[in-house]
Amino acid sequence: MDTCQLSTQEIERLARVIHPGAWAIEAERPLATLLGSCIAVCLFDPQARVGGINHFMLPNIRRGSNDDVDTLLSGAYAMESLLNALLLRGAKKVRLQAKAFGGGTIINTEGQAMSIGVRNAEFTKEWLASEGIPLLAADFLGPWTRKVLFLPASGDAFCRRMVTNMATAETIAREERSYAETLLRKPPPGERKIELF
Amino acid sequence: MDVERALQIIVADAERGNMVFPTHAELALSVKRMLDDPECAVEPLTRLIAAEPLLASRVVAMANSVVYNRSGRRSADLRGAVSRLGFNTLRTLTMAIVIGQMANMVRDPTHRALAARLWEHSVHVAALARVIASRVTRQDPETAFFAGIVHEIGGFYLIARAAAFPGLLESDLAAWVGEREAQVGRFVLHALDIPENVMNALEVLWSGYLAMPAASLGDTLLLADYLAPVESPLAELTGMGRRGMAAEIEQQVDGAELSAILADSADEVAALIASLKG
Repeated sequence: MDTCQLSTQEIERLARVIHPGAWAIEAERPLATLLGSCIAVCLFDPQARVGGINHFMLPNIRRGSNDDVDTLLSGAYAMESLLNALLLRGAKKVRLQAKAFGGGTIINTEGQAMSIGVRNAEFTKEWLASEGIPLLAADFLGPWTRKVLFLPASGDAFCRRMVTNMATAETIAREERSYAETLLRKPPPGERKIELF
Repeated sequence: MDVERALQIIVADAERGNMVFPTHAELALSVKRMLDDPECAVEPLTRLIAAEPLLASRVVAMANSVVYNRSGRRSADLRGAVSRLGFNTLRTLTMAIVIGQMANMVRDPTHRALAARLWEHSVHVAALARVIASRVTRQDPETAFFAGIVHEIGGFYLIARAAAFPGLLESDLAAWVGEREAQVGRFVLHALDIPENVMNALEVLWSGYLAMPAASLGDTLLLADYLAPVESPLAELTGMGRRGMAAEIEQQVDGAELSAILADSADEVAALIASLKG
């Protein structure tokens, strides 16, 4: 399948859909995700021609607690899961390139809701910079829902800003809330696999 | 207000060729037809342009702008201006006159204000598209300029026909985005015999999918549409507006950032906008 020749409508039709909290790598099949305030990062190694996408958000920070650290670890976990899986498929970290999308405010335009998108976008940029992975293109923030299409064999990515009607906004927000709640449920100590040095 | 029904009628009208070009745009349309003729020669073209004072003044102003006149020597010679600009830029200026006149013929004051803002938006998109084509996507700048001028022609048609549907432009127009806008746009642009590469670029715009980083002529247009500081008033009515929120779109271009390139091109964009608005 030469996905480079497909129209965006065909890519959308063929794509495997990635839900909040998930990540995926495919050899050929296009990947797609629908974003509200979450972020999707596409990572691609142009030499090994291997790529993948994730869909994540940071859990809410409760100021004055130690949850700030947990929050950042949660974001890093989402990024590192994708990164490590790509390395296992033959990608080299020095060759990786990133494209990132999302961080919209689709329901509540009050200050706190807007800051969620900003925080997710800032975390993404900082994480990529700290890992030395260049961010080739990004579309963040604003009031839109976004549909992202990614071709893992070529690294091509397409982003569509969409009108967010009330029904769509409710559905996306419900999915993202449900994902956010899983982030706030701390795993038992045995399941904590990230070590700090 | 049955928005869906009204939009169906408007699409059907456009399909039947029921166009809304003002009678005084006929001369500008004659210029465009002459420009589309492969045998077009400078002398008769200059004579025809001279008969349309608004177009003639824009042609001279554009030829004197920093974009087309790097030497800075100003001239009021129409023939020289026609030669300096070339047929592609003249085609863009001609369409700018036709669309500007479409905006001016709207009678209802509220709708007229909408049309004026849509024209302002189109001018910004055209100027940005030209710069993005030249410095970012490496597309033909003149084609991008032209595509920017005509990219909202379906919206002008909608506004021109809205008087027959009281309340339409005060309603939620979410149904306009995508297929309805594309259908009307295709019919109007077909009536104007717009080149295929511009039509293909508009199809990308109507699909809404922007390749990241932007690469094609369609991406150039969509990116310019996103970056234009003056939003389309139809974006607000359809729910696609920014609602005052910040948005951040960025891409790398040969190691430089898009935002830095555009900041560096601000004078060029301003000169193009000034020449188009007259």
